[in-house]
Amino acid sequence: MENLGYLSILLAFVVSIYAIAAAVAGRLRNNTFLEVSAQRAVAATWMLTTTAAGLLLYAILTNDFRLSYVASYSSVDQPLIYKFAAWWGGQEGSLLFWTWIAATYSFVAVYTGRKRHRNMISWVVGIVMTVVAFFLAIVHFAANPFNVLMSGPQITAIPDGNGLNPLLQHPVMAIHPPMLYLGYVGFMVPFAFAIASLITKQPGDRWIHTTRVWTMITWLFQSVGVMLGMVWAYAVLGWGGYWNWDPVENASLLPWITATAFLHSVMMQEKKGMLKVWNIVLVSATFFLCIFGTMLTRSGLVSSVHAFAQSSIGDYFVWFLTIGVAATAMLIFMRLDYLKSEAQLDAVLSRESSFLFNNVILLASCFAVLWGTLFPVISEAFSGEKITVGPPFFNKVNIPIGLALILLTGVGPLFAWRKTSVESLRRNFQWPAVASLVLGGALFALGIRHLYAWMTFVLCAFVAITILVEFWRGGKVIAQRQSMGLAAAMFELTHRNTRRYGGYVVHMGMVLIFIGFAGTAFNQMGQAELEPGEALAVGGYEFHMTDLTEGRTPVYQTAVATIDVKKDGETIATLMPEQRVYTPDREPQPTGIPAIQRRPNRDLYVVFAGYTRDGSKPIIQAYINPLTSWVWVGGWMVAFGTLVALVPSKVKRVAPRTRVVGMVEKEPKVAASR
Amino acid sequence: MRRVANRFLIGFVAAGLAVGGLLTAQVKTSDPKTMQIREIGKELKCQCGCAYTVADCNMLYCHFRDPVNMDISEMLDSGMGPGAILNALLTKYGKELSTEPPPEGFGAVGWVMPFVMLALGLLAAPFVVQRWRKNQITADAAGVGTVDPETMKRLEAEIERDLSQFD
Repeated sequence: MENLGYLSILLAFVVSIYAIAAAVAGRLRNNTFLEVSAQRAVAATWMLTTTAAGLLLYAILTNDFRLSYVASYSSVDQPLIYKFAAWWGGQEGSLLFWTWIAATYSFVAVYTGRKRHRNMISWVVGIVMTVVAFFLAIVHFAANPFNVLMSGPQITAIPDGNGLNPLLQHPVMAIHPPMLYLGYVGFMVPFAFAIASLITKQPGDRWIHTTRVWTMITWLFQSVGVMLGMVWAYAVLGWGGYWNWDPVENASLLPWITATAFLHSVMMQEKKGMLKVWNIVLVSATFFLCIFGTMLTRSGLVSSVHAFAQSSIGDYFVWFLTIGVAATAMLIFMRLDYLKSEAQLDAVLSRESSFLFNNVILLASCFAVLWGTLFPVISEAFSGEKITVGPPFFNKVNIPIGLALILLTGVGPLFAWRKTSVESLRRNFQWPAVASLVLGGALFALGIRHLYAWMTFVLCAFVAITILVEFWRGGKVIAQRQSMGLAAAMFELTHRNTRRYGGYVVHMGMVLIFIGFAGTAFNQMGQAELEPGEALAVGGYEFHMTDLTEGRTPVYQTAVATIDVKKDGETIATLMPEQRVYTPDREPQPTGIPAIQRRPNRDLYVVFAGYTRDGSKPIIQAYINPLTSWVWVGGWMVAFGTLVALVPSKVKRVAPRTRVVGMVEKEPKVAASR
Repeated sequence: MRRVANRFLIGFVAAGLAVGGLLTAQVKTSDPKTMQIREIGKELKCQCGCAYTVADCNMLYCHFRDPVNMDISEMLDSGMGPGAILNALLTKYGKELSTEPPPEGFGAVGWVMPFVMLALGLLAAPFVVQRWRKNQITADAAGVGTVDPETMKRLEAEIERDLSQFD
């Protein structure tokens, strides 16, 4: 079977190279036969990659411990769901998973776009297959999951494997990596369409529509993937938080930020033909940041709890990134004339200006995260001293930027395209501003003195009110005209322009997320060595340990504390945090399983942190985390809003263009020729 | 009947003991010194490979966290303040323990750069807006944009027809 696996990957690599050559040659020579052949080679590559993926999955499910990969990341008693998760639980398997998703995306993109984008589809084939071929080369030559265990010249097998890392044995981890990969890899498609349009100097903006839809789909996956990563960190890692600014976490955030910037600025190109260079740069940056993130996770460039084992494949990525970025930059430079803006700005106070500032803030945030992530490497290169950067740095730098972004989220949609009058601004801003300032006063009176948290609440209130007013105003007009209820009218309103109102739902989700972030300013934590019968008091709550159960399974030792949580003498929850110490062949690995009671206003989060040095008493940590649930609700609202925006609008809208450059100059010639 | 009564009695006594036990449970607050150690530990990056701070590292018998916590405890006992303890630990274990770049030397560049980039972007944005606006004013003065709707409609139809031939 391993031979079949090797062969599938090798053949897929060869066929993908053929696809690139046939697509490029077919387009340059205008040879339809070669172009169609290249498209079929895309399908063949997908089939061969699927075969390899299927074979690896079969080996994992049937406990084929002759394969080194299966022996390292699976075991006989591993539950079925985690056997699937073993596919992406290690370096080699996850690279094959990456490649398989890339091949699948390529197949879908080419076969759905081949008629609509006939002029440039061959270039799209060439670009996506270059990416697929690169990853197939890595999988085949540097990280092959079909390598077998050898004892001298003999293939050997072990009776049972090591099993998946215990930290990864959580239901969320069965979904989080696929979602994140679907996001990461998906950005390859918008990039391919953007570059193909540059090469072919595509007239019109049809490719922009395709690119935008693909970007939204992959942005949705990326958002859900990042959110699930936070859910996992909160539920498993047991340090009371969900985002630690770890390099790998940052790597998933970087392309998300640039893609968010693109989804905003692309509207400028659709509606006014502006920011063409900028949009191409953003699409390209998003794709290369995805590759950069993949490299960061796998090369050992920076240390991270999420990273795969250090390996030499980082060199491959460095070369790919260097050549890719240089070629893209050169192409953009060569096409600058073609990318000139078609329209200009009518007024400074306009939606166009707000989008520009939105992009500046997003890109500043992206730079801050990238800078902090790479600062240890940069500082070592320039000063010879490795200066590390942790959460305090990222928080100090990104909180002000995040606040500016939230402000723009509320202000931007209130500006009209082309021109906004001062009167209209006053009308739109007056009540949201007054209401949010009244709320701010109330919060101050209630004792909120944390400046950033206070500002976040006030700005979030402002944005939420502006969004609700937008829905209410539009819904009221439809309700009056069509004699329907306000709720039905709002639904109708959203259906008429799903993109706009779906976008508002996404903004509302971001507001909830930011409220949840602000809640961390009021986190409280306590720690004590407890025995049954003793209690720990934290922030008005008492955590009474009533029982301690210890046990052992073949795989791990377990200790479960039963803790009654009381407030004002009344038991409000019984929480059972657990600590497992896995005892594989390597060193013992502890896994805390925090117990959480979630409520809209606060989470009670209890961790069994271990035992005292002499092993006599358990150490219990209790956290009161206000507003954490708002982060998760906001995350799902972002996903829902994106889905709404992807639904076709009931009313077909044609983006109004104000002006086409050179139209008038050409017009007399047209008239003269008649 | 007696059996039922006995069971009831045993249950009653057990419940009483449990309630009594809970009522007399020793409620602790977090040990101030432990919390001080945690607060200082939050400013130091653990070097065991966990990517967390010394306060949040959950590695079993971590070879780095435990000695550092011991050091902090001893320094607190000797009357040192948090700032002095942090400096002493950075001297002892190296600057890579810090979670923030130092405010001097190349570390200062680390702090300043994100804000410099933001400032550059915010300074450049009005110039870009002004340029767009200027182009607009120039175009208006040159009479560009005075195409009547009928001509525009006809031209757009022609463009559409031409473009459809590309497909």
